Amino acid sequence: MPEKTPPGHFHILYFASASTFIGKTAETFPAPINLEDLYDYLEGKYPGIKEKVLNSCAVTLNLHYVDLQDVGAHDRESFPRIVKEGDEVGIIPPVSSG
Amino acid sequence: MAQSRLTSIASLESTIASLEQNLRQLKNDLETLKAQDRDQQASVQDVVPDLTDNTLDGNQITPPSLGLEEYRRYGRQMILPGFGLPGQLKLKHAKVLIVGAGGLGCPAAVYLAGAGIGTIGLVDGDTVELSNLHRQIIHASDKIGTKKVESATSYLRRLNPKPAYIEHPYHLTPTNALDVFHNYDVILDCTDHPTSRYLISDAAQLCRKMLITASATKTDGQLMSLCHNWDNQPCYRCIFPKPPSSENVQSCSESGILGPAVGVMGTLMAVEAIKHIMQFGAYNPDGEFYWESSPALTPTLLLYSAFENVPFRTTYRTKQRKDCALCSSNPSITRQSLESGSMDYEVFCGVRVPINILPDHQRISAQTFNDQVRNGSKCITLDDEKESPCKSTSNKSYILLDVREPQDFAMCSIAGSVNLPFSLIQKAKAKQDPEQRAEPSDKPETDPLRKLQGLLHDIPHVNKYFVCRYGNDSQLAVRYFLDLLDEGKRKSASVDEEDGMAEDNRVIWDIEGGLRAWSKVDPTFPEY
Repeated sequence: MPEKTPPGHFHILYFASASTFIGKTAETFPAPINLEDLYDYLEGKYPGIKEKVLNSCAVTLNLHYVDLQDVGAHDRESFPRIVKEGDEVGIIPPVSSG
Repeated sequence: MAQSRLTSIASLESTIASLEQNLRQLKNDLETLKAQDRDQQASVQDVVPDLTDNTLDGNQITPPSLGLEEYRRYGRQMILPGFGLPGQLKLKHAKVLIVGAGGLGCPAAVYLAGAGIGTIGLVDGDTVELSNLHRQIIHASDKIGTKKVESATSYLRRLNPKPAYIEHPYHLTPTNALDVFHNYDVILDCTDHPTSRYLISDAAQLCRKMLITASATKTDGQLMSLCHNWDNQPCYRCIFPKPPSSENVQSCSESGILGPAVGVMGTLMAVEAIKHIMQFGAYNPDGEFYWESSPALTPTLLLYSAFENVPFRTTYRTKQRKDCALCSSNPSITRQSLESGSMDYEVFCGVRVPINILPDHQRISAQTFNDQVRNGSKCITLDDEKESPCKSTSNKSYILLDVREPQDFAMCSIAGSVNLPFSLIQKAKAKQDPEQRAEPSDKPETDPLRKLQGLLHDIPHVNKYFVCRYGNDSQLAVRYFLDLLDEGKRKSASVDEEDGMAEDNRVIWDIEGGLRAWSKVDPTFPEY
C-alpha cells in the first residue's frame, strides 16, 4: 500500500534525476496549490532545481500528464489545474541511459 | 626483444581484425542466400497444410509456411488464447530493428528471436567491454573486443537460427537513419543518450514506423510505445520537448545501473513489440507485413522504480502537442532537414564534452604528481594540520582532495586522500547565489559553504591537489576554490598576516585525467 498522505497535504513523487537532485523519492506538501505555482514552490525549497531538472520534466497529476506551458495539449478550462488534498503529483525527467 | 614482441602483437591483431571482417561479410552473404532459399522453399515437404478455414471470398489462399520444427519451437506460445497459427505467422512476417545492443537491446533481442520474429536487425557501432557483462547478458567474456552486433547475432543464431539477422555495425546518424529504418516495421530504441533518443524518435515519425522506446538508469526505468505507424500519435518531443540539462546526462559508467533493472525494461520492450504485432499486425498473401487500422489506444508512459515499495506506475500521456517541432501541423523538423545533415542533435542536447577550464599552471599530470609530489612531500589530512599547523610551504606538505561521491571513494582511493564530495561544493555554490533564500535551519557545522571556506582558512599554506574519476569535476572544484580566494581578497581591506586567505596562495592544482590517468601510473589501482 502506498504511504498515506497526511490530511491537508498532497503527495509528490520524484523520479530519476529529480530524486537524485533532491535526495528523496517522495514527500508531502500542504494543499491546495496551483500547478502553475508548483515549479516556483519547488525552486524555493531546492534552489537550482528549475534550471537543472524541472524545465525538461514531464509532470503528472494523479497519473495523468499535465502540460505546464501555455500552449499545451489540454484544454485549460476542462483539465484540473489545482493540486488538491490527497492528490499525487509526479515529477518525471527524461531518462536516456540504457 | 620487447619491441619485436610488440610488433608481432600488432601484426597479429591486424590480421585477426581483417579475417573477422571477411567472416562478417561471408555470414551476411550466407544470411541473404538463406532468406532467398526460404522464399523459394515455401511449398517444401515439411509444410503442414492449414486445417482452418482460410478462404477469402471463396478462393483458397496460399498455405501458410510454418515448418514442423517451428511448431515444436513455438508451440508453448501458439496455444495462448488469441495467438495460434495466425499470430505466429504475423511474428514471422514482421521485421524488427533493435537500435543498441546493450543493456536494453540484449534482453529484447533474445526474447524477440526466441519468439520467432522473422527479421531482426541490430544497430550498434561499439565493441564488447568487460564492464558491459553484468547487464548486457547476450555477450560473453570471450567476446570482449568483438563488435557488439556480431557478438549478439552469434548468440541469437544459436538460440534460434530461423530468423534473418541483419547486422548494422555502425552508429545511427541523421544521414543514415531514414534509410536504415525504411526496411523495418517496428523500431526499438535501446540506446543510451538523448541525442540518439531524439534522432530515433524523429526518424521513426518521419518514416511512419512504430517506435518502442525505453530507458534505465540506476534502479529506475521508463517505457513507452510511440505508434507513428498510425496518424495523430504523440511523439517523444510531445512528452519531452526540452532535452535534459547536460550535467544530468550521465552514462551508465557515471551514474551506475542495476543489471536486472535495465533487463526488465528490455524485456518489456520485447513484450510491447510482440503485443502490437499480435493485436494489430497482419500480412498479405505476398507475405508483406502491414498494420491494421488504428485502435483507440491511450498512450501510456510506464515508470519503474525497482527499489520502491510500489515499483510500477502507468501514467497516461498527452495527445499531440499543438506546437510540437516534429508532429504538429507546422513542423520545423522534416525529412529534408534530417537527410541534409542540418540537424545537430548534439547542439540541441547541449552535449557535455570533457572540459578544459583551467590554465596550464593550475594543472598537473598524474605522472608528475607521482614523481615530484608524492615522492617528495608529506601527505596530510585536515586533522594533521589542525594539530600542528605550518606557516610555510617550505615543509612541502600537501593534501589530496578526492571530489567523488562517498560511495565511489569507499570503493577505492589513493592512499592518504581525503574525500570532499563534489555535491557539497554544488550545494555551497547554490547557497552563494544571491537569488536563493537562506535556509534558516543551516547550522554552521553543516553549512556547506562554511565548511569549504574553512578548508581554505585552516590550511592556507598547504598545497592542495584535487582529483576525481575522469578529471572534469576536479577542474570545477579548483575553479570554485580559486573564485573563493579571489572573493576573499576582494573583501579584505588590508593584508592580515594571520589570515592566510589574504595571501596569494594559489597552491591549488587539478590532476589531469583524474583517477583514470592515475591507474596508468599505478597499475594496481582499480579502474571501474
